[in-house]
Amino acid sequence: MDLIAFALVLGKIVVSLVVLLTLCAYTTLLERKLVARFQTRIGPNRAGPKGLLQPLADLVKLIFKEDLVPSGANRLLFTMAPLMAFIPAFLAVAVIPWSGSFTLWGYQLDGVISDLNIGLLFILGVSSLGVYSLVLAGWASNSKYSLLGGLRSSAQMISYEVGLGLSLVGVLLLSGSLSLTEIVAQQATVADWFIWKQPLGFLLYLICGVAETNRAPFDLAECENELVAGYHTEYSSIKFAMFYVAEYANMVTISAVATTLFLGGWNGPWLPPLAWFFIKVLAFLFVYIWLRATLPRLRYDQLMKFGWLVLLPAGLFNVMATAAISAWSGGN
Amino acid sequence: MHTFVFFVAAGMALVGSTLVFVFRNTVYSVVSLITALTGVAVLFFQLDAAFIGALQIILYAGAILVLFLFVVMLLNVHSDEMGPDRRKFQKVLAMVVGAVLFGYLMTLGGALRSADPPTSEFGSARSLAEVFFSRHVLAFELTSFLLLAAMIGAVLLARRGEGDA
Repeated sequence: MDLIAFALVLGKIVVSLVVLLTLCAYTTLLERKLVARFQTRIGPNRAGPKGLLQPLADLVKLIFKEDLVPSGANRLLFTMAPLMAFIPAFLAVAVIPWSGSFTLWGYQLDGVISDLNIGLLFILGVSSLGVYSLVLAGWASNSKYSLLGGLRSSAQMISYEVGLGLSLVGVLLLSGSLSLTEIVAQQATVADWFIWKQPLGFLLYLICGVAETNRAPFDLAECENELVAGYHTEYSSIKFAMFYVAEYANMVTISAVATTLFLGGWNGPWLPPLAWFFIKVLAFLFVYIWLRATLPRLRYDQLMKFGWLVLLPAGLFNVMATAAISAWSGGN
Repeated sequence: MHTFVFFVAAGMALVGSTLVFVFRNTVYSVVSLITALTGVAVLFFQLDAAFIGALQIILYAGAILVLFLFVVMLLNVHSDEMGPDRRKFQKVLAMVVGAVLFGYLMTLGGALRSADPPTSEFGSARSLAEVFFSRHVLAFELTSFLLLAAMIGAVLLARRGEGDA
């Protein structure tokens, strides 16, 4: 690999990270604006035209806050926990294809940082590492609310990871590949989208994805009337900001995987691939916010019962049915 | 670039696994073990065994060690309560086992150098599945049977406390 090709790969990584960070920042604004509309309020409109500079103002505010470490907290793990939330959340973008291959300055480039042949497993693995940040943050804070919140959310994430994995198996059976690039290539037209062949799988993925990111109506981790704010109760300043950004980065990842697996990825007519990719991701993010503004929070025992007694059997049924049908019709 | 990544990952694995027994704080030990396992996973990725690398992260780093961490955190044993380790024979045994394993690895290294280089299909999900479900199907099914039995046993043990209702 010569130097220019290396620089181009490095450039792709940097651009992806910058785009993801910007997307996270503006998802917070989108969320505040949309929730405000749902509740017939106006929402943030002071910083910049129509409040468009609000994420920047939030960031500056968070950075200049006092960085508190509670007494009795484990300083090392307390500092490490936000990093452990932040890093896995950003690793997952490495394998998500946002475009087909294109030519730039005479170089043929893929629209993905690394086309791993097991890209999907990579995403599942990396996102499962996010649990540690919650557990360690809860434990290291030396506070009962943090500990309970950390335990709750890690139990929730472990439970819903099973359903999340199962909901994807259907697509894998139909496509016969674990490579995200290959899966996107098989959904060239709207009729080929896997959402039509896997409606149950998509529904399960949607539910588990919302639970996996600890978002409403499954945001038991930060159930404010019981736990103040859950695992990040004791966090302030830049450490809190890292948790906050990691949550949104995870939402973007879940949306991007949904786009790739069920909604045809970057495929689409007329518009360039990149535009289609972002339109679909934003549509999925809109559903996230819509759910938050609409549904009340579940109780913790309801959440666990729902995960194990409804989602898990439904996921297993979906796998069995898909396998049986594709074997019947002589598929791969 | 490859060499650089190798040394970082190998360093993570070695330092992590050393710190596991250096720390007296059990939570630190678990975190070091996570570091070590992640380092090993990176090595797998470098060896083109991406499937095994991903499984390493999903199963060991992502699932089993979370349970370790749970247990360690909920027991919350302080290091001063543990006291010095009095089982001398364990140290001797550990040294003997370590030496045997090291010697074994050395002989393996010689054997591997003379082996054929792996094919492009090596370590992919498809090639592994083909081997699992043809040549090693009995061992594979027996293992899954064992895991199922263990799972049912665990559920049974956990439910015994509920008054056999």
